[in-house]
Amino acid sequence: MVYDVIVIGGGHAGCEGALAASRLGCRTLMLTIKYEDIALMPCNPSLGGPGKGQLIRELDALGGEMARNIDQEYMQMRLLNRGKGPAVRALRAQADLAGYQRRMRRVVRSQADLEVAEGKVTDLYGGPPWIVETADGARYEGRCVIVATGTHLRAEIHRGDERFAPEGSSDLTTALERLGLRTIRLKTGTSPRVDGRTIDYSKMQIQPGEDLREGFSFDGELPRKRQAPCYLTYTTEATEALVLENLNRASLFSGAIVGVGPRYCPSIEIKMHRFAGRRQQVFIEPLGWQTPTVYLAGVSTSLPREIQEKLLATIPGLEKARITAFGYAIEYDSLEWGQLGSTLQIKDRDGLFFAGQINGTSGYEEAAVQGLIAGINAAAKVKGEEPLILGRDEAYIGVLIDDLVTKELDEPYRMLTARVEYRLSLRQDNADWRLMEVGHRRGLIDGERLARMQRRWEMVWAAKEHLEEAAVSPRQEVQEILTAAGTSPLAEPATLAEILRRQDVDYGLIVKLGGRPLPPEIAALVEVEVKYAGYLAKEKKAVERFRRLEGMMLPENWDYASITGLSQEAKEKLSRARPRSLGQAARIGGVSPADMSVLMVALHRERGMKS
Amino acid sequence: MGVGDTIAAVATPPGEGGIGIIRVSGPDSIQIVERIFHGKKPLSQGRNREMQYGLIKDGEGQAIDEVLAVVMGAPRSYTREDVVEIHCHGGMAPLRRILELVLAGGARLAEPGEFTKRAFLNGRLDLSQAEAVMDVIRAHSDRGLQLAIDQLRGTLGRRVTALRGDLLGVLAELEARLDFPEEDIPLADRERTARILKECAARIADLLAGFKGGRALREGVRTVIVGRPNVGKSTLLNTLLGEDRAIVTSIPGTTRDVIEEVILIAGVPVRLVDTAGIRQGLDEAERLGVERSRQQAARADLILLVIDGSVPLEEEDWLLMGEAAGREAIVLINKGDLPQRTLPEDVKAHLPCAPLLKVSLKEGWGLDELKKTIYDQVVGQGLEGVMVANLRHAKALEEALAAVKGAAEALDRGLSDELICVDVRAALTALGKITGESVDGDLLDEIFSRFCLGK
Repeated sequence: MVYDVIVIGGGHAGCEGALAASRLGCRTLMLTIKYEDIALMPCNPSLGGPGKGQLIRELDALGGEMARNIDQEYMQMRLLNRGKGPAVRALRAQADLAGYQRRMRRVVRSQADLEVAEGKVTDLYGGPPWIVETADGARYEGRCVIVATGTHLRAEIHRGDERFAPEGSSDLTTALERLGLRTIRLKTGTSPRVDGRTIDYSKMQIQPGEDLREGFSFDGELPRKRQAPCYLTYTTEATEALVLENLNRASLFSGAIVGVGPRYCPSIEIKMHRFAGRRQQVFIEPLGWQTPTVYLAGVSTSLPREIQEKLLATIPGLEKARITAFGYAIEYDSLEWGQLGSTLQIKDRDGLFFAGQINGTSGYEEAAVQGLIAGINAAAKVKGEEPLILGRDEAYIGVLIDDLVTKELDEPYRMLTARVEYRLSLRQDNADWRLMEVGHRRGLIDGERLARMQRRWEMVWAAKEHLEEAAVSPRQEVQEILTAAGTSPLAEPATLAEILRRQDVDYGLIVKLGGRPLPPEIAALVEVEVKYAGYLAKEKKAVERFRRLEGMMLPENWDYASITGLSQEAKEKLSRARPRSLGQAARIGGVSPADMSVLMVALHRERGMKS
Repeated sequence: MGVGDTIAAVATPPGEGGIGIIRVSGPDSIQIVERIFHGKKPLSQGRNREMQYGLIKDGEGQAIDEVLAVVMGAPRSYTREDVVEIHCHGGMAPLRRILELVLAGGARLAEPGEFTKRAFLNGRLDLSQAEAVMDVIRAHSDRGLQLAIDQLRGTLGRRVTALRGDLLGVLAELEARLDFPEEDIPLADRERTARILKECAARIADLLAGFKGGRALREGVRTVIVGRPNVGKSTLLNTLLGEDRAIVTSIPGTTRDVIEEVILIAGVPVRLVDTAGIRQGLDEAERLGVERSRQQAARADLILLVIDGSVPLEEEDWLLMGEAAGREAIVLINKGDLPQRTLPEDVKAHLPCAPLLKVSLKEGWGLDELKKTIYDQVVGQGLEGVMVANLRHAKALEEALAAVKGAAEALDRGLSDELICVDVRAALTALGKITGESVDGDLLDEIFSRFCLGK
């Protein structure tokens, strides 16, 4: 039997890919090494935060599962960046890890058209159909394959002098090399876990959750739950002395590791080495209701076991902490730049998709959205439909994938809001407005959800229009209301929108001046649209400019080497990256404005010759 | 393939005699020129493809130049867009000023080869000409790039780089807090940020003030006349000055023993620097004269080395030839009216690249050839490019200034960090047009080198 889609891996990318493909009617097989490890979080047990929170909201609007799963299985929920503007506010959740995995396993198992099998994939060839073989001798055939193997390829754990392949480390890279694919070595790390019953929390700051109405999913209200606190403590001078003294025993410094690690997630030895004389935060994050084990965020380390033990003893509250799992650094293979296309299919390898950490990203959310897009595009391939490619102007997901296609990675890639050009337009609060229609057209969002989104936004636009039109004059009662609210009185008649644009005015005050009362989440959206209006208009203009080049598509197999006038570097980079559009070409390092002009002319000539 | 905006540039080679042409192409070209053109009737009311006489005036009503303007309506024009050409009196100053007005009116400075590119994209040129178009673009931009690199080594480059560093610092602090809200980053000191932004604005305004005066062009290409005593340096200077009536200005030397004069050679400003005006004790003068010549030569854009052809080369000649080696230089073998003891080949052997001219300053022959050579050397150095690069830089600086002011204002109004970021980013993007650097990679580097982030 030939499957439509075979997904290799049951992590966050694998789950979303398998669910999306099967929900779109493809006969799908998900291969996972261990059924129990589906949707595992091997690092921090948390989801969301700036950049990542936006990704989860977008995933939900497109019909992914992660948002609904975490909304049901959170132990703590907070809204970060509350003091800043709405574009950068982001939800952050602590997951009950066991609960999270249990629910995801249930969803996967009960999904029609989706089979799950255990097996470690040892070979991949053919194409199409693709043949997948596992260590226990099973052989599967699939029209499309999604490789979502995370950090498993040639994985190697380092800790002090220890160096070993973790359970699940796989030599699938050899098969990929036979297919002509190239890989690079990346590195990441994790912190020790400790028994929470051995921690003295009285020496730490408590960080409770917040009572929020909205979760990650647009599917309705967030279920109210009992929440567990996190705790915060700090390293001491003794920590620094100990780490620096043993620096050469860390695998990271002893030369044992060649892979490049992420700058945004440095190990404790790097923090102490590069930012000496500063105390560092250590967050204690619960792993679940059923386990006493907690995760120590902030002390990712490749120091030997005995030093890890000594290290905790220097941190207030952790003096007697018992380590249940030691921290380590892990090196793994990831796909080299220039092979992945914007659909997440490997160029020239019909039906072979890659998603998640194997593509050089880090983080559960980054993996999940890639899984979703790969699933959608594999299904599109099977059904002969147009692939889904989101633009940098449409979604964080679009920025992430475009970066993977155009930028040569020098460290694992993490989503940051700083990477997003149109950050004010691409907010977590309007992901449904931006993307739910796309999700609906693809068949992952039902009519009811879509209608709910449309009703919600109709209210927003109607209210906004009303505010732009309704004017108030500087009557005495108006002036009194304004003065009482601590803002300046009117000098001349003004629309309610003009008043709402003031820094110190919120929608509550507008209602007092004659604005329509609105549900709080709608009022919040109206406030954003009105207050940001000037900046949003600026972004809109920039987006229009951006789209001009983005719309000029380049021939798929263009021979860049033969184009007169291109610089040598541009020829090389363009031949490797093979951008879809002129816009994408401009983002490839080494392609200058002059090269762009040449490309434009050459493109015109190409078209002229064809017509 | 809609091209969209309106572009403008000087269409004639620089300094070429009487008339200079500024070409404007695109949907707003007529409207833009009409606002600064004052003729018998408004520009748009004139007949298509007919010259109209008038004055170009700036925003304050000050006349810049008498011009002829011609409108060529789409599609009957070189680019197949609406095109306006302004024919003015040449000379760099009015050309540059008019171009500035056109740009201020909403046109964008054309990229190298852009008119040709548009002509091609709009179907004006044959497909077989595409390769040639691409070569033109490449050639223009390579020269432009070299110029930009040269300029960046100078003061402008240093000052823009410093500005960029400061703004990147501001942005990194703001961005780090947005992306890592839980980290231990000290609270943003809004007062300090505001101070840095205001200071940056002042620095950009300063740089702009320099551009506005067109300093580089007014001062001309620094040309130094060197040679042993009595080879004819002063005669050369006086002849050049005397023959060319168009002395622009006489700049008193910073020290009394150097004379500087600006002359126009075919419209190109050339600043002549002569060390020959020194009259001191004879023996002393010979030694000091050569020494001074060498010092001046070291700072020159162009060296005019004068050699006495009627005597064999002397030690000082060798020294000065060494100074001129590898530089932009022209060698004049003077006293061509006397029997020659120095052969051109002797000089050529040591200065193979420098043009070599035989002249007689006394009898006045060889001068036209000299002027042509100076012009070629100067224009060969890409004066056009310098001007364009300057204008481009000025535009970028104006953008940066507006953005930094916007950021400072947003900060004053108490707007939140992500909004301030929008303007700081815009400023960095604008400065990046000068230095050729993008914001993104550098920003992340800055964030991670400043702060210890991540858990």
